[in-house]
Amino acid sequence: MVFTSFNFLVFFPAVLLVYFLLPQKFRWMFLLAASYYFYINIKPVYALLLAGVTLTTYIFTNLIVRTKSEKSKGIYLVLAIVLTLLPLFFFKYFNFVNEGIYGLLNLAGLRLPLPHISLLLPVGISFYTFMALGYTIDVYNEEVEAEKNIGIVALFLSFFPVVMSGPIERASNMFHQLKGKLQFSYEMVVSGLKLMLWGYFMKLALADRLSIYIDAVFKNADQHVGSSLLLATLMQPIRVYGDLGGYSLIAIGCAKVMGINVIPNFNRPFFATTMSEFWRRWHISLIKWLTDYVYTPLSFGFRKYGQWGIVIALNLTFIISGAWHGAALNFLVWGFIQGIALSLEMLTRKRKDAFEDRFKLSKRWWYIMLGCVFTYLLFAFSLSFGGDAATVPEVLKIFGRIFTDSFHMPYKDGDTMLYGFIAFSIVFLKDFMEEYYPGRILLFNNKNNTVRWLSYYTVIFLIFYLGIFSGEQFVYFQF
Amino acid sequence: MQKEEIVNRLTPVFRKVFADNSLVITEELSALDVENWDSLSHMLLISEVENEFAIKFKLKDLNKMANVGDMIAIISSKL
Amino acid sequence: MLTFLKKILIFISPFLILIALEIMIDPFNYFSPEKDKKTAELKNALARKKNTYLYRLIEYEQNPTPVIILGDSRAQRLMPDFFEEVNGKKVLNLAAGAGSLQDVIKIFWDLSSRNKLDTVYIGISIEGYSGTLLKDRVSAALEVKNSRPLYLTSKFTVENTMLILKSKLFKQPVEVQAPPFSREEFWKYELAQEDRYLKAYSYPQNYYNELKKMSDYCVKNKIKLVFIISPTHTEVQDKIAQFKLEKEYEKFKEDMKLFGDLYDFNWPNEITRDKNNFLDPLHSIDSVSRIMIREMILNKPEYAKYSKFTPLGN
Repeated sequence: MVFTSFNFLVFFPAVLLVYFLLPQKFRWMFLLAASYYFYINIKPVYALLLAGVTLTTYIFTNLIVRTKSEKSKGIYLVLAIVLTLLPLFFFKYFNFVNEGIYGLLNLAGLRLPLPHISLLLPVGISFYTFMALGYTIDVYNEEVEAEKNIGIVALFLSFFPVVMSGPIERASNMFHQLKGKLQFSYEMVVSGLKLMLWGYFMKLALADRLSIYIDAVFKNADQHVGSSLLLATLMQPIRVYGDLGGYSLIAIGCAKVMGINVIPNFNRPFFATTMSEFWRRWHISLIKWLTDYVYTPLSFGFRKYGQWGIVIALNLTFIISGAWHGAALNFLVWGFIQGIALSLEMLTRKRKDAFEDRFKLSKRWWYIMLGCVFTYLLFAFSLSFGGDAATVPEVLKIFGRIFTDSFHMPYKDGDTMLYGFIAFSIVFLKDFMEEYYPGRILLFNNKNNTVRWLSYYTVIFLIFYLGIFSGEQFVYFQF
Repeated sequence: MQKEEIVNRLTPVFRKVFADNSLVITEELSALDVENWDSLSHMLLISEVENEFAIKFKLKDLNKMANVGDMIAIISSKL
Repeated sequence: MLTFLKKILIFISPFLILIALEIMIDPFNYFSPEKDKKTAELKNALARKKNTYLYRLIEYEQNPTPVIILGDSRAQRLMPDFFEEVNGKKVLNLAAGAGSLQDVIKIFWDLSSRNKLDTVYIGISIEGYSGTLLKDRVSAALEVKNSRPLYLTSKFTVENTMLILKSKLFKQPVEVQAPPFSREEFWKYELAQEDRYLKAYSYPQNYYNELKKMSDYCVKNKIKLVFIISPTHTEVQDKIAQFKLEKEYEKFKEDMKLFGDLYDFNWPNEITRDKNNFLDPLHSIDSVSRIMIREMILNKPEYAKYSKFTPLGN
């Protein structure tokens, strides 16, 4: 079941009721049962896989802690990483790697039949695999103690608010909460519900609405003029923000209602003035994970190469990020673009800072706006490579048409554009106020009861009025 | 090696990496306090410190270094 | 915890009342067909403005007919009652204003999968048989139809429930929205709309393929497929030449002949030259519709250029 299904709207209150009626010490067990119920509802067989990864993680973390020899610890770590990554590799990358290998063999004149696996990706596998890996590595690095209770480990990896699409959590943040006092806190419940409400608005009114336009254009790219392609390209970041950002808010809010604090995933990304800043505000949990477990070891390993070591580490990290998003060349290209952008920013940082200081630019509103716009454009165009159906030549063709097509009125879809614009304005205004004038206008958090309740009702009304309700699958699902 | 000596040998390294000849290091000093202390300069710093004291850091050590005080402790343990 | 529960109950009470109203009033007859005739007319009129497809699809499910009419606003003007008058067969008209061929195709496959169809009339035009008119409003209607929660939360249901409630409480009839212009202005406006459609024309290979699939299915399952090109005023017909689409228009008609019977009413004759036979340049008046229906059912084409479908041997 997805967050935006009616099943979930029945499941969640039911879970809450039982959760809060149970004595405190049984709550984590019930959460584990509910999480597996939630996951089995998606596809029973995949729950076995999740359980398998859980078992592997449990066994190896405890083995690492038990042995004294550094060498054994290292071996166990490597084994754990390989075994944990195996299912992900198998389901996600097998075909891609296979085709690559057979492609190369083909060039050498060897024609071999291609074993192809067509399997649906188990939901959430990219997320819980990373969480399991992170935990295992943390144990090896002595950052976190190995958990002796397999139930807690199982709950950590299957926790239903985050299992399907993040945020990617850490053992250091979750374990003590899951083992601690899971209490009913009025403030957290209300706060969590507000987050969920806003998340639903972002997902249903903004993301799903814009998807109609974007999909209509890109699924028939040949039939559309350059200006439509441009418009759809520019809408992409907003769509993903509404989708993944909204979904993350629902997840975080859901956990908060139950008394658990989950790390944030987005921080008003469109107000970043550089790509480096953008990646501190966009899909934060993923970037933090990649930084801690990929970038830092890599840059540490390459530290003798100075700034070029950093460049290589950055690019490798982001290419891996691309691979995490999808098993195809275009995703790697997407990752590489981010890596290049960040490398360039790093290499020119000193000169840019000096330039800005000389003309006192960093405080000027138009300079800030320019930075935001440029960053947005860069990300928007790079996102074209981040689609499931995109291939590099097709994307390049689309870019070509965007810049060379003579101007025609873009494809117009009245309702979609109007409602999409309204939803976007609302989200943008909220983020804008929070970014530059925090505390000035309070609606959800206003002291006045009436204002608060009115704003809740208004948002609910807007969700139903502007929102799209046809079970459209959330983009980050087959992950 | 005494802590004081470590600090004395660290100071020029820090000043070189962060291009600041007036930089004074304290035990509480961390990346948040120094301008230009980002991932690039951090790795450069690590590399220079290794050269200066002829030691090799492990990745594990990196994660344990929240501030200069931690760094001194780890350097000390390797000498 | 208790204070929270109390507050939550108070908070959701308006929604509970709304749902109760929706179930009671049931603007699209989701839960059961409407027995009261006046209310049925009211629901029909409101549905036509908001979500025709949902209303008609539910109507079909409750009372499937062997003969259906699909298409856009022109096909919508073919009165099912008159069909019944002529040959006694019950007909349901599932055409809707601004209906696209995409809608027609989706409805066809949905209905034919559930009931044996006898005859399918499809109102078609060159504006509809175009690669730029791809909008699909049927899929959403089908999803709502198949899901009670979706129905209860659909904004159409909410709006129509409120309108019906208002009408019943204040004993007011529902106003049919009159166009804000005079007849002449509207005439010009519709001609301008036509220009937009024709300017954007592109050959719809996708629709060709879809209609071929439909046609093959109909041959196999002995369903009669009839394409109707409704008459438009000659001022509209002249635009084909104006936009240099003569070849495309011929191809369009030839394509239709490959898929089913074709009754082409859209050529210069005494009906189409007379503005009095039209509400607006694209839509003829009821008496013309009756002529069309009679000619098609009795297969006595006078104002229609008739072309019989001969399925090609495989």
